[in-house]
Order: sequence, then structure tokens, then C-alpha cells
Amino acid sequence: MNRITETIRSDVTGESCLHVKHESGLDIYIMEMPGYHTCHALFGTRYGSINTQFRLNGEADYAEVPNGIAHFLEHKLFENEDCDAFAQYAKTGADANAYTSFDRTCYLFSCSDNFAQSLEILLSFVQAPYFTKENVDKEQGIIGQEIQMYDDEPSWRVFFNLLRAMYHAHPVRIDIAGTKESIAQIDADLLYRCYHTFYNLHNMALSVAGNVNADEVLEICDRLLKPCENQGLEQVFPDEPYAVKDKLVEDTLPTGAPIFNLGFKLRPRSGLELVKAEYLASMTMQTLFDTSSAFYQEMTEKGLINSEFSVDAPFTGEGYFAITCGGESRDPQAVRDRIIAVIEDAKKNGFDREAFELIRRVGYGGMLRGCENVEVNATRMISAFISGIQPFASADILASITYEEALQFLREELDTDNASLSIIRSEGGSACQQ
Amino acid sequence: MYPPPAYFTTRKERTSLNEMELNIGKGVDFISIAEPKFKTNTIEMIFMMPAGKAHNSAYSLLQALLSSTSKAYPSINAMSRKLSSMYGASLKGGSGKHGDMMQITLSTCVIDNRYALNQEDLLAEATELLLGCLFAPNTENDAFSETDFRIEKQDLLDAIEAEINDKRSYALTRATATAFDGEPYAYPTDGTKEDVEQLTPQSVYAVYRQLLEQAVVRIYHVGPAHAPQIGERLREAFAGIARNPVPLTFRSPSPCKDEIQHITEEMPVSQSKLVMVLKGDAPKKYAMNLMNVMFGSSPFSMLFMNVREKLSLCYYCSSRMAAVKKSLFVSSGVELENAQKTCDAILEQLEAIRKGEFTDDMLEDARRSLLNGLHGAGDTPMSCIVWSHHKYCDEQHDDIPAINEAYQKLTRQDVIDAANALRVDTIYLMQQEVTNEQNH
Repeated sequence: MNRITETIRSDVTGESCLHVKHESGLDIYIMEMPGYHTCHALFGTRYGSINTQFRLNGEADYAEVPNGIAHFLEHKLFENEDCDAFAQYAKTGADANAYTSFDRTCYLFSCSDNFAQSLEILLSFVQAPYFTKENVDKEQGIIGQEIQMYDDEPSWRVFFNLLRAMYHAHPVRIDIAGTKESIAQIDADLLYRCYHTFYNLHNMALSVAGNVNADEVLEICDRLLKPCENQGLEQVFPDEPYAVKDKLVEDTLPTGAPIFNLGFKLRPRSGLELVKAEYLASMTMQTLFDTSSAFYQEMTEKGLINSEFSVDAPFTGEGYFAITCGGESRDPQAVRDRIIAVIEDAKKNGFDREAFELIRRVGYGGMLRGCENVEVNATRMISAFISGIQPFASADILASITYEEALQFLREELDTDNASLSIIRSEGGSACQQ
Repeated sequence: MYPPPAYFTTRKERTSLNEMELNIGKGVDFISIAEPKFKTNTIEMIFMMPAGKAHNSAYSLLQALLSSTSKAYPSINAMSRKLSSMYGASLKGGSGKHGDMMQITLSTCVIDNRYALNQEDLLAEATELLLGCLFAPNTENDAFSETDFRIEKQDLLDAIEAEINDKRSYALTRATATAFDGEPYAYPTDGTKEDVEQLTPQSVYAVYRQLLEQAVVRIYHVGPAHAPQIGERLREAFAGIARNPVPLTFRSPSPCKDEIQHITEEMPVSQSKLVMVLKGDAPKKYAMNLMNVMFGSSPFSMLFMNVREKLSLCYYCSSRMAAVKKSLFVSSGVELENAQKTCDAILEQLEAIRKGEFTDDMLEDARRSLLNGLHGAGDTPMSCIVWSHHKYCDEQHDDIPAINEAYQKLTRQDVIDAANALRVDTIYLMQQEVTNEQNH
């Protein structure tokens, strides 16, 4: 087999991994971790809930598929013609799962015994779709219950309400699993079409870490990967205006204190520029609002936030970039107003340079802590692939960012007027019955 | 392309963790676990006390106070800055039930000294920080700081109110209250809002002193090398405390009710939640663990394969054990109209195991899954602590190799006997409002 192999090292953490561009088109990342008992493997594709309009080389029109189909496909791929993938994994003892998010679908397993056999199962079932009318119909009920389960979760609902308030047209505003109505439109043919479009190995990666041997992994890949041609996948996303759609959205559900999410909508980016912007946004927001900030102390002392308050990692992907934070508060509007005032003050007067450097230290510590974890390492490598950057590239970016760049980012990119606030309250106040 | 249908052999052995144990006071032990692969040092203190209405809320508030400030860092802000300067070291408190016992924890995790950019001794700093939180909290005149107390009390009240946010977990809490009525385990970990309202900075301080003097204490260190100096430093710190540890009950089997208790609550939700509590003690140790994997805690279990996959009744239907209570919880999210059907289907699966209606392959699949988890023990600092602490709490102090051997020896009849030991105690249903049409 022809392969292009490179070893990628991080000067910051000292970690290294092997990157192989396999003849089949697949990108393979392997991190051998001596002394560990477990292995973690992910086989993922750049295909998530937002990839709803696409075409391949030679096709005149863009296909538009129902919302929730990427997630539906993930469920169905576990079922092959002969048996179920979980039943196969039961023969090796591996702990297997899968997930679909906005921009990716990943199939994964963790194990401490029979790694080679589990990897064979992973590579095999993901490359062997089997969709029929019967097995598609059966899944409607299961996924319908999954959708309803998430509908009852205030933290899920408040976040998707926020996305719908911020975005007019981008598919990021649609629930990952779709709706009962949208999944009712899914049939076996549509699943095959999406599968053959997005599960092309040129659009996928395999990431393994832990008690693994690179030669063994590559031997299995050589044997089981089915070479495929790059089909020239093209995607379009609806035009998305710069401004948020709604500044305030409120909803009710049984909860304790009201739950809120605040989102600032920014200009989208991609590749390395995106990763750098993510760090600029994240470090600035952490400096201004994390537990060591004056804001946090003041707001907890006033009883306006509690320990649930947090600044999230920037919410980014193809065509969207938002900075979000949230928590519980009896007066979410007052929290929003204070956050905006703190940002405006920082734009005008700058912010605590020493605190900013401490946040960089926290970032360095977090990177190192993750390096001792098998699952984190495997997940970080596949995330780098999805983001279109090399593993460990983010560590260099973290080290290189300056206070001046962060301040400039805040002044030029963060428009406090372009924000949405989403609130969930209990109907008639607290629902708690003790 | 697929592996043959025969199952794979799983290795037979698994070594113990590299542990060193040192008694450093009356009822206080220091356990050092060395794993050269780790890049961090973790110290976790576990204080064990009897659970119950009297103190659960106070323990919960206490762990929050101890892990947010100290005399040296007397505000959330100051403590957080100190942790940031230590490369984002963590400082966490926790309280949770272990059967009829409460475990109050205080822990820190910091990157190893070799990664410090300015040659700081981070392990020593973390040790002193944690000791400061425990022995020199932000108190005055035998009471916690008024400001800290007010913030953390409100936080706890909010957390209790927010239990309703996670409907699945809320349903389990409500089922627990009925199934274990009259036992300390029935009482919520954080207590109730009324309990919290009774607390004062003085009363929580009194509980703090009681904890220092009476709790059975296990202090774990996990890092790339043993650190006996931490043990010595802890010995000095505990020397000033007049220790009088309470006797603890590690195992508290719960009696099964003569008649099944049915509880139904209506909520404005779109999916109903079903919880079934079963009780019973398997004659053979660990047999219930194996039965549980086969019955409902794995994606190849009978509940997953039949109730979810074949009958399409739900997205989740799974079981989990409360081993020290000799109980098993089954939970599922269903349409109200399917609740009874789901209940029946769950019991049919149990009946099938009772009658031995399962293949040897199914048994071996479950065994392999258990062994897979066991063989991976010790790959994270938390996993080291969990397994080491499990050994301490176990009556026979079974180590990883002993559990490994016991898993290998379990037979089909052991699993049948375990299933036959179980009886339904309580069935709880959080019922979606009938008028609430699905709004999708």
C-alpha cells in the first residue's frame, strides 16, 4: 500500500503522533501511549446536521435533504445486513458508541483487550451500509423518543432557542436530530445518497490513541479500507445576514431558577484563522468573566449568578461563529447588561494584562492535563482534522497570541449590539416540589 | 470481513495498582499510587460519615465552602487567581451517598513539577493549598465568613431547585425516596430547601469540626511517582486534631416491600419517565454485576436489544446497580401510552434470565464487557482512586486481580440465581400531561 507518513510533534507539550495519508484517501492519526492499558479509536466524517445542501462532481443541482438525516444515518449504520455492530463488539468486550454534532459524525470504541478485532469491526461496519424500508421505519420511533427527551431538557432547549434567535437561515439553527416531521421524510434511498456523498474516505479520518501499535493499525487499515475516488464534494449554505434575528427569546419548561444563554454573533472564519480567532475570543472572555474576574465576584455577591455560570468554548464551524455564555439567574437581563458593560469598558480602557497571562497559563495546563488521557488525545486528533489543521497546532497558537491582538479582536470583532438572549423559566415560577 | 461469530479470548490476568498505604492518624490513611505515565498529581481527601436528614445539607454546603475560599485566599476571586497561577490547577469539593454513608471529598489536581515553566514546586503548592482549605478555612469566631456562607447557601438552594432540570435524574431521585423510605439512603444528597434554610455559619462550622474529628478519612495521591512527603505533611496537620472516628456501615442491604409501591406524578413534559427499583442479594459475589450487564447496562443487553431495538418503545432503557443497597434501578423515557407495555417488556426480560433463557454467548459477552472495564483500571488518576477506594470499602478488600478471578469463575447458574433474587419494590412514573400534544 502507498502511504505518506509523517511524525508530528508538539514543542509545547512534548507529545507526538503519526499522521498517515492512506492510499484509500483516509487520514489516519495514531498516538502510541506506553504504560496505558486502554485504547480509544474514532472513525469520523466531516458530516453533521448542518450539511444539508450538497452536490458532487458533474452534478448540476444541489441536493437538499431533510433535517436530522446525518444523525439518523449514524443510528442506522450500526445495523448491517447480517447483524448489529453492537453484537459484534460484544464479542471483543469493547465499549462502543457514536455521536453526531453540527459538523461531524464519529463512531468510536474504547477497549483494554482485543483492540485489533475491535478496530476491524469499526472499519468494517462503517464501510458497509445496509438500509431498508423496514429498518428505517423502525428507527423513527426510537429517534422520535430521543427528540422528545432532549425537548424536556432546559439546557438543550435554551441553547437551541438561542441559535434560532441568532441565525436566520443557517442550518445550525435546526436541532441535530431534526424533528418528528423532518425525520418522517427520510427513506433508505436518501440515506444511501448521503452515505455515498459524505462517507467517502477522502472526507474522513481515523484516530487511535493508547495501548496501540502503529504497524498493527496500518496493517488492518491496508486490509479493510476500500479505496475510493475523491468526488469533489461541494456544499452551499444559505445566505446568513450579519445581524442576529431576535435579541430576546423566552420559553417555559419545568426548571429551578431561570436558565439563560447569551450569544454574540461574529463573522465566520475557517482553518487556522478560525483556530486563532477561537483562542482570541476564548482567552478574552475568560479574562473578563471567569471565576477569577471582578465580574464573577460582584455578580455572585449580588446573587445574580451562581456557580452554574460559565463562558463556553466559542461555537464555530462552516458559516457560523458565536461567543456564548450562560447559567442560572433570577434576572438574566441584568446579567446580560452587566456583561455588555464590562465588554464595552474593556474595549475602551483595555483589560487586566496579568489576568490575561494567567488565562494563557490555564490553557497550557489544560493541554498538558489532556495529554495523559487516552480518550482526550484521540478526540483532539480527530477534532484537528475536522477543523482542517494539524494536531497540536492549537498549542502553538495559544503560546503566540498577544494581549494586543486580543484587545484588537475585542474592539473590532465583538459587537455587543449583535447579541441574543435566550431564557427558560418555569411556568408560574419554580417547579421544584420537595 | 467480520470477525467470526465465536467470541475472542480475553487475557486472564491483570496486575494491581502500584499502591503504598500509610496510617497517619487515628482513622486517617494516606494512599500513594504511582504511575509514571501520568503528567499530573492528584490529591483527593475522602471523609466518610453516616448519611441522613440531620447533616446532608450541611455536608453539601461545607464542601462548597471548603473548596471555594480559605484564610489565605479569602474570596472566590483570590482562590481562582491562585489556581490560575498554578496552570489551572483544579480545586473541587463534593458530597455523595455511598449506601447509608456520606462521602465528602476535597481534591486538587495540578500538572507535574517537570512541566512548570519557572521550576515551581507545584506539588508542594497544591498540598499546602488543600491543607489550607481544610485546616484554615475562611472562618472567624467559630463561624464561616458571612459573605461566603450567603453565596454558597444560595448556590445550594439553586442546585436543589434545579434538580427538576434533569428529568431522568429527578425521576430516579423520586423513586429512591419511596423505595428506600425510612433508610438514610432515601434522603437527598443535598437535603431539602427547608434543611438548608435552617443552616447558619455557626452550625456549618460545628459540622466542620465534627467532620475533622469524627470522619473516617482516606487521602489518595496519584502521580508519576510516590510522594511520601505529602503523607508526612498530612500527619503533622492531623496531629493537632483530637480524633474520635465514628463506626461506619459499608454495606446496607435494603429490605424489599411486601407489596409493590406505585408512584405517579404529572409534569408538563413531552416524554414520560419510568423508573423501576428492584431489590435482592445474589448468593454469589459479583453475580449481580454480570447479570446487570446482560440484563440492561450494555448496548447488547436484553433491555437494549428488545425493549429499544425490537419494540422501538424508547431511546433509552437501561439498568444500573446500587451495589451496597443490593438494589437495581431500571429507567426509561417513553410515551405515556407505552408505559405499561414497557414495564411488562422489562419484566419479561428479567423473567427470561430467571428461566435461563439466554445463550452461553450472551453470558460470555457480558463477562467480556466486565473484564474490559476492569482491565482498563488505572488509566486515569480518577480511575486509580475509584478502584483503590472500592477495595477499601469492600468487605473482603478485593483487589483488581481478585475481582478478575471472581469474574472468570461466575457461572450461568450464578446469573440465574442473581435474577431470581430480585423482586420489584417500587415503580415510579413521571407522567407527561395528557393535554400536552407533541409539539414538533
